[in-house]
Amino acid sequence: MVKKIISGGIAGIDAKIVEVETDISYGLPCMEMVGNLGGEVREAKERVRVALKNAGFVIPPQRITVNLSPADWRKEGTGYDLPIALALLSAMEQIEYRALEQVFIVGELGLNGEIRGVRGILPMAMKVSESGLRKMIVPKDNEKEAMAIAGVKVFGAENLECLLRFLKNENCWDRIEDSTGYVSDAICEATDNDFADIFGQEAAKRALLIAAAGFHNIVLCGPPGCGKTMLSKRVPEILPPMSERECLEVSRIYSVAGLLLGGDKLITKRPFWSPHHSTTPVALAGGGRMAGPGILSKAHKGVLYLDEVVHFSAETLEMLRQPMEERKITVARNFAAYEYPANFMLVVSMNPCPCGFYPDFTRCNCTPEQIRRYRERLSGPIRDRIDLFVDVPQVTMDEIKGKTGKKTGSEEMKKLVLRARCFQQKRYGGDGDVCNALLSVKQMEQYLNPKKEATDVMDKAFERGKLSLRGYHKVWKVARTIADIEESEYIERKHVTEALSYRERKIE
Amino acid sequence: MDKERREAMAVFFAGIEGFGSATMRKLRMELGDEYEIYKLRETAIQKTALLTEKQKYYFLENRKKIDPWTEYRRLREKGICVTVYGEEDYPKRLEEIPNPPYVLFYEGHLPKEELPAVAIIGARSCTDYGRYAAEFFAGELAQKGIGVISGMASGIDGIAQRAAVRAGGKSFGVLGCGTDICYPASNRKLYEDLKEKGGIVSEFFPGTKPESFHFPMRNRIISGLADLILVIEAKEKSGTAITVTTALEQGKDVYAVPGRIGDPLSEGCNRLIREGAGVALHPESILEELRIKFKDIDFGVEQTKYGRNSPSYTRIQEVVIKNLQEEKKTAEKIAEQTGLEISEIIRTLSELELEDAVVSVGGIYAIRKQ
Repeated sequence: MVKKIISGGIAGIDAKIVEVETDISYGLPCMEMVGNLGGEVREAKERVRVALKNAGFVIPPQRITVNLSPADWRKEGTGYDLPIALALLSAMEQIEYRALEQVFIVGELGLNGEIRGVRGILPMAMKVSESGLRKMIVPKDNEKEAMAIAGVKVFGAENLECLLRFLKNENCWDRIEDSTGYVSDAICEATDNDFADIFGQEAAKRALLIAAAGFHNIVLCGPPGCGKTMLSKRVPEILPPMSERECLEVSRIYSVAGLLLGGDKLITKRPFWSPHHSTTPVALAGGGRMAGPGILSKAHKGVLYLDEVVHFSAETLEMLRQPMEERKITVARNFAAYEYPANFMLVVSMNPCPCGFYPDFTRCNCTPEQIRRYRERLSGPIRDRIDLFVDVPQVTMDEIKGKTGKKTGSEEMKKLVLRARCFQQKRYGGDGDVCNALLSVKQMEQYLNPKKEATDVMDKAFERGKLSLRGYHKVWKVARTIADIEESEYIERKHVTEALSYRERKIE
Repeated sequence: MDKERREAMAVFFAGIEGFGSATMRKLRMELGDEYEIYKLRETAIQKTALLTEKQKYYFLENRKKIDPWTEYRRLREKGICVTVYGEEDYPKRLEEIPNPPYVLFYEGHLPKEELPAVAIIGARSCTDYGRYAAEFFAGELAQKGIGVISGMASGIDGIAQRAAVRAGGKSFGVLGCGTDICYPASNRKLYEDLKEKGGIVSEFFPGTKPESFHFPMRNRIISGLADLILVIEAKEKSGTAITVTTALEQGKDVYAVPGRIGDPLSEGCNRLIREGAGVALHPESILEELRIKFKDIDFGVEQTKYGRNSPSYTRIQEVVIKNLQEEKKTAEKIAEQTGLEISEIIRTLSELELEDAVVSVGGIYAIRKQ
């Protein structure tokens, strides 16, 4: 008699429903598994057999067939162990099948019957909620993750024994309440990273504040030890807190990447990823044999920081082009093409010249030609997508010691960023997805709202050769953000002049 | 021997590997004019002690393969002119230096004998101060009809020559490669301008690539073609220092633009001044020196003031400019010292930058001298 259990796998960042069918019939004793299975799914056979034996069940010496359907879709991952085991038990009529009907089941089995966590629970829970199944059995480790989606009954099982005990109860599912969904932590944990830790660099802080307020990509250029990395690390702190939808979006990617495992919290903090410059294009883009999100997607809604960007291989940097344009990345592998979101803010740091000390001529001997060639390693197409270029000068010891000026801290900056974001949201509508950095040329015409003096300054800069045509649009966007920080409806002259100071300067 | 034939012969000899100015001088002293040398029998060549085995080999090979007349015509068609040591049109100034180049290739024309010429030289990576000084001196001098001679390199050289051309004067670039090669390539525009409004000069056979050992050689021509050398910015040890040494050997006057102490790009100049070089405070100091040699030429007396009429600044702009006049500094430091908001300072600096009143290099702002 055929018994069907509902389970699922991950395709990109979505879950896909898979039915596990089992049949026991007369014939030579064997256990056959079909349905386009990956290596780790085929191995489930052994895990299930031993786990069931250790739980006290005797598998009948008959012909057992397990089919995972749809049979043409490639199945990967270890989450099918538990559904296969339960399908088998139902077919053996060792458990009440009624309790398993219309229940989504996923989990990896240990030989002793322990149920271990798997990746991708969050998108599975979303799928369960969408498809109207409403009941889930997941590993205990993944229970909290599954419960982040409202209106689903979740049972977190530690091992086979306790799961079977639960299923034995009459009306067992009535005892479990619907999950209430994700509750955001009202208090964001304090971190050790505060902009107030950094001495000096007020100009760079101002630039980063603007970048964060408009989600602009930014380049920090300065000698080694001037604080580029410290500054960049603190950018996620001043970005506005993620909305519930954003938290789920990011957590979903982390879930698929297996980074939520064991933790009992969703991702509520803006991600910050800083890959080493030896990183390969595949690591950034995602994919691999078992397709998973790459670093670009893990930095979704957060900050991607490329330290010493010119040392990244040209191939790796070129990889950034599509995601920076479309805010998502499409990865094609043997079996399918997957789409991962990748809407990050790019922060890039670089030295001003090969030796790093330009324009300090007591130490720098680089020729202008060398400097130009060094900087050109950050290729044109990437440059075009970066809105702010900031020079971060060296801070001397004397300056730090004699510091009397104020030190801007994260708290103050965050307030301004939030103010600017609210102002943008009012203009663009939506729930904060559209920022100035993402404006198209057409949208710019509609929303910039410059005053006459502002346009005059811009034209002058252009005429005097201070600005390229590409730079022109970028400066307007940045000017819009500066105006937003001041909650100014119009772009005024002062906003444009400030934005102009963040343009890229030619090396003479 | 007529002029054209001598030039064709000179082109032939200049094209032989290993035949430099010294070799040619030796040969001419011992064996007579170029045509006679060219016509020497193979046995006579093999016997002579004046040439090395390698030189002999290349000489004979080239004589077999190359027709001097076709080669000469080919160069002329490309617009490359030739002048040979001892000829009427060979620059008199070069005849006076030790080891004068035996042959000179040039495009455009050569500096006029009766007009004064100043070599303006300096570092390739220069500061804004150097740029200002180079433009100021080159522009003023060129306007007075003084030829500006330099190496067309990036930095001071190119800046000075561009300023001279812009001022409507004459400028001559002496290259360390063939005149048909633009090096550095980034000076293409200047290279074309010089051909029209001055000249490109080289002792290297057309097509010769720039090699590091060519540059000290071409430096002696830069100083040799000039009546006076002006050093704008130079590090203690640099190519500029080499040029100055050769200039002194040639008996030329050396002037240097003073700089701040402790500034690495001014160390060379300040040391030259200490050692007795003329102090170039204003183009007028150079003109004074030139007046002694060129009594008949009227350079005019009116002096151009430093800087142009300053545009009217707003109050905050004036505060920032005044603050920056002490020394160059970061935006943050200005904010700290003036007590103004950093955003306010950034905006003001940006406005001033737009007016070319200040300049930012690596986040450090400085007053731009006009």
